[in-house]
Amino acid sequence: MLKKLLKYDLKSIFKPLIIFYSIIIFLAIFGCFIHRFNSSALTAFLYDFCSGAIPGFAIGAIINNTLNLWRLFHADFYGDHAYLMRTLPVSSKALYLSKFLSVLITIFTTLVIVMFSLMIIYGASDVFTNLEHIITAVPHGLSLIIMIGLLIYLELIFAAQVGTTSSILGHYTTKNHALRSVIIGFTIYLFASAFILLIVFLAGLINPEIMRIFTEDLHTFGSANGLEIFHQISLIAIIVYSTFITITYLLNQKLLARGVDVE
Amino acid sequence: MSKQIALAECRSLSKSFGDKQVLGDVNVKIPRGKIIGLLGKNGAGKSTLLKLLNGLLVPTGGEVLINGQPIDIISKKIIAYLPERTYLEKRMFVREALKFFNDFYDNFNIVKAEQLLKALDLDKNMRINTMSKGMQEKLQLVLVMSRQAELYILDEPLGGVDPATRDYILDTILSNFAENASLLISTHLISDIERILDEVIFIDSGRVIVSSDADTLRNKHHTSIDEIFRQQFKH
Repeated sequence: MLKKLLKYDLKSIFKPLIIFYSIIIFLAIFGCFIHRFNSSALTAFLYDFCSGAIPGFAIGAIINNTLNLWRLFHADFYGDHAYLMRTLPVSSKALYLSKFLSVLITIFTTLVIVMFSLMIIYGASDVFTNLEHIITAVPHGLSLIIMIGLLIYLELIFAAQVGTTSSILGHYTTKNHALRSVIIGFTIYLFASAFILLIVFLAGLINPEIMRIFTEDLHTFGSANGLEIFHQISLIAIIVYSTFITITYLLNQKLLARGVDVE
Repeated sequence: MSKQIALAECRSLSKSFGDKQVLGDVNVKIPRGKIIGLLGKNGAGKSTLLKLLNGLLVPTGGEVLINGQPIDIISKKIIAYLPERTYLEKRMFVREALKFFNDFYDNFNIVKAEQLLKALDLDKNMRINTMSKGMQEKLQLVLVMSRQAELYILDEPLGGVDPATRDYILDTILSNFAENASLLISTHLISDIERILDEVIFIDSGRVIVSSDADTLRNKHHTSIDEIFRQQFKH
């Protein structure tokens, strides 16, 4: 049953996302093609437009993805669609797991599409050369790039999770569910961000190099030194976000297992 | 001889939303092979009771048992529920809704569903958000009645449709629910369904005030269920 639930969830989420993906890929290919014929002000303008528009549509895709995930969760557990979904012969565990897997899959797909589109559009320019330099010249260069990608991925998953957790907690009252959910969501997210900062600070007490980000201006760091510190902080943040995601998943499952009231 | 377990049972069931008690100490048994009318004024607690029977609300007190067990995946397989609102995704096509039900319910008869769609003049290539409210309700009825369930729970299936269509829908319900299944219909349009009821439950302000065999009640009061209801709930 989980496979069937996931099939329908992914279909629902990917429908609007396909439009964003198509636009992003088109802009990337078109921009790259145009750049090869960079012989006029018009082609230069078109290339600049494409390379500028892609990040904008990428952000739009990520926002649309996250909002759609929240909408789907709310509709399937509390809204009119819940009258169908929650009377299906499936457990609430499977119903929520499908949502969680949809978060993992769709955010991953969105980031991959965005990343490859950026590589296509900027592949014609110096970005690839700079990237190659980072990988070969900087210590842990490749792992740094992977960690940045992983960090962004985990942060987006956590943001989606906060939305579902706050929706569940917000529905424990009889009135003003939406307002309470928003307030709870912001509170959880701010608390999590502060907590990560605290963990980094505590790490700084053990490793004086990390503490430098609290005591010195960033421009005083050498580039290699700065990247090394960033590498360590990224590792800490990845561990903390992974823990948060696990905790919110287990908490959501436990709360949903108790039963929830449809609106 | 052992007593047969009720198909569905509410034991001291209550539900409150904050300070407001909507259902209080409801004790009801739904037997097998019967058509039961859940009758009451608007806001009496009928829909709340039906939602509790389907696990869509968490009881404040008491319990709901289906075949003697708490609500779980197995009970959801044997209950076909028609809520009073449209629960299908509006962007879906009718044919996709059929496929959805076919995917999740082993007891869904897609051939029967397509026949019912034709009989009710519903085009399976229509998008749900282009259908009128009445058409959406008919579609949901088709989906529910195409299942070989043991208990059909219909919440106001006749509301929102014209009188001419009501009889047709009632006949569709009667001719399509599974043999030996039970049917629990909630409505305030009593005169329309009285003729088919085996048992009646009157509910008022969240409490069951009458629970009886329909013929026994009619014989006792020498009048129709509709008239008994009017007398019971006279202002």
